[in-house]
Amino acid sequence: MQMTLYDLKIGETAIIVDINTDRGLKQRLQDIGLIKKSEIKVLHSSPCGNPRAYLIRGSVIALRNCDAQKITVSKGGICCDRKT
Amino acid sequence: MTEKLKIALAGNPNVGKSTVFNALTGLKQHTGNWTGKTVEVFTGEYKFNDKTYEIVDVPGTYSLIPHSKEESVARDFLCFSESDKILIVCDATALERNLYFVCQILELNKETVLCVNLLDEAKKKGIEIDLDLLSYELGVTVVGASARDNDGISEIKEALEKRNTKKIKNIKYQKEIEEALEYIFPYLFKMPIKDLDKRWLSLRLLDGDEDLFLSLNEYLGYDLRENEFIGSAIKKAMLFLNENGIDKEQLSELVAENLYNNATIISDQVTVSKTKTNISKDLKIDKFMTGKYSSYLVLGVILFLVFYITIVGANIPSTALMNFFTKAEAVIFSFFSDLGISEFFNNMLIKGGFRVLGWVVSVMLPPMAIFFPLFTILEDLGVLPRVTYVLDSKFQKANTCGKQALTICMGFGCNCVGVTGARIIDSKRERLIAILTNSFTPCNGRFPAIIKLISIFFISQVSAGSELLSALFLSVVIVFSIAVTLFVSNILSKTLLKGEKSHYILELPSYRKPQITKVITRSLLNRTIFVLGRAVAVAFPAGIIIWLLLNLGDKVILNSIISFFTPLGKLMGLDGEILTSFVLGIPANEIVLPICLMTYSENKELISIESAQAISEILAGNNWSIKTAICFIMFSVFHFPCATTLITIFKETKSFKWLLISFLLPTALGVIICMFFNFVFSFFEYVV
Repeated sequence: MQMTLYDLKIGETAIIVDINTDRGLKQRLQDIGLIKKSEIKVLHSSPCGNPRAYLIRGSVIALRNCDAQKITVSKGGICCDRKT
Repeated sequence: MTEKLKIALAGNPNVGKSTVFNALTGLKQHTGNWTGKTVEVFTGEYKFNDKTYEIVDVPGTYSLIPHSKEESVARDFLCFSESDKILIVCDATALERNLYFVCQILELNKETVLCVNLLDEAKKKGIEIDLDLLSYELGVTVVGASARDNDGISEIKEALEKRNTKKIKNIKYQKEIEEALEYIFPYLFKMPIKDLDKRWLSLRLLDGDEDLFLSLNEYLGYDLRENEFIGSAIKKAMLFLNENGIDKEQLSELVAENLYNNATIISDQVTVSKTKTNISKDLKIDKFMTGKYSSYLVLGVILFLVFYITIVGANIPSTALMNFFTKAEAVIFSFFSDLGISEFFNNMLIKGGFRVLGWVVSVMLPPMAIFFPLFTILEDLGVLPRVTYVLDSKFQKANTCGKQALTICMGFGCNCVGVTGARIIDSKRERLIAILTNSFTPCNGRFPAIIKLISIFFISQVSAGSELLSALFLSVVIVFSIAVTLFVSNILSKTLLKGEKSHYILELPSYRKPQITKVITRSLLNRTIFVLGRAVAVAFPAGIIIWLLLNLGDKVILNSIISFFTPLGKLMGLDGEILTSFVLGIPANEIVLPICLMTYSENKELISIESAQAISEILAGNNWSIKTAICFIMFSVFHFPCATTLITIFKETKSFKWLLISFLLPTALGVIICMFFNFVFSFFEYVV
């Protein structure tokens, strides 16, 4: 089953598997540290549930749900590339 | 002859780059920029050991691959300019992500000093960084700093003075990429490539986009790829990569991945005492700031407080300034008379031009001088990004971007600032929407009249708390203006400016204590003085024109304008005098009500009417009712932007079409809204 960032609940952590967006957005995400194999955590949501805030590489980033749906993640998988 | 060293100051947004800039240069800045931290590059100078250093504050960006015009400016300045050194500022609390950008810059192989800022904040969060090790790993001088307390500033100056004897370490890419670089690298020795690094250039020739090549060609003066050796080398390298299953898009992805891996390794190495990054304090505040119900409450309270402080705080200095200008006027007038200047010209210049100028300054300066510092404090606190975060869903529904909330906020201070501030919005379509709708936000120039009318017509007796009550009424007007802004933005994005909503990616920085004194000097310098200067430039000539209208040929021209506007005015629940005042008040909104009062009275000069009672008598004598007051306030919110804003809109859009639309759209809307209110009121009057 493919899980996306949008499916994660607040407080959950996962590893990014793939980013299926257009090139522009992909690059933007990459610049702020959102790339394959990195760890991401859902911190909180704005009052209407969209956008939500995520913790990535020590900084807090807000993303819209429609964009979060294009990012597939795997929950609980232990990342081999990064010590925790 | 003294040497002048040019230093580019670079860094991610929210790392305290402007704090470092201010600490280095003090007040010796040339501020071409007045919307805050965005847009045009601004420069400052300082002297250290007999040498002059010119610091260029490059716009904050997350990478050297630009996404907006502003970031292109940053990229071009760092990659393609003859700066002597680069000073990178990075955030100790998010070192890993910052190092990605640092690595990108180090690849340029220019003389670089790295400043690790916010060390105090990192310490609080349980992060400590081994700066010597970091310096060794990267091969550049590293200076630790807490710039807000001036810690480390003199060390930065020393580091910039010394020649860097260390060698910047190359970033090793995966085998395929390294091999591909070998195809191109040797050929670059024979090419005139100025000071560009060969390794960096080789990689960019493979993964660069057209925007980069455009800047590259301009810098070099020729197209490198048209050289037959280079051209065929690029082809061979691409072919090699393709054989290994890497296309151009994947290449740039892999490059980023490699850079990040590098950043992760270094950051893990140099970060000592790895307690888990502690952001729980931020989260606690966020829970309240962005909570389901509390967020709206907080927003409301902040909005209300900002206006309340602005309104109340501006009263006293406003009166003082007004008195000063009245005295100055008398002195200058008699001085000019003694000089033998004819009475006509003396009257025109002093009682026309100077009086309006004095009026504009005393009405405009105090609220600006309070509002913009407050705004900057909110910005420094980290509140403003949260505002866009909370409101984004509303803007999503209107197919625009949450950052428009910020341009609206800036518009409260001054619409020109709001229009320029729209540059923070990446998508061109959404930026245009923000620009076109910005004048719906009542600015500081319009508040005084709106507040006067509110206090005359809606608050029966002047008593304790009347200021509080008028701020409350004002908030209602503001909420209405925001609702209309959203409504019109939605219509625009379905008609004139059709398109998909763009992405919204925004960093929510840590909450930080603002530096009050620095904030005040900065916002006074950057925003207030500039806006004021522009307003004064139009106020003086406008004063002369108005004076001429009142004094030439027994008000014939003025009266014919008034009678021209009377029919439309009546339909809108207003009258010819009011509409004429709006038209004559196009140079600056703060003179609309004074002009209106003047046309009612028999005065031939603009008179300052202090007491609300005097105004209310004049208005009552000219058939004003609550309906007139509401329609006046509505038209004050929804009408053509002032001259300064129109000029700014043209500068931003460079198009007469959008200039025209920005004029017609709010005007048409204002006419419709006023007619609607007029109709509703008349209907009720008829029924009752």
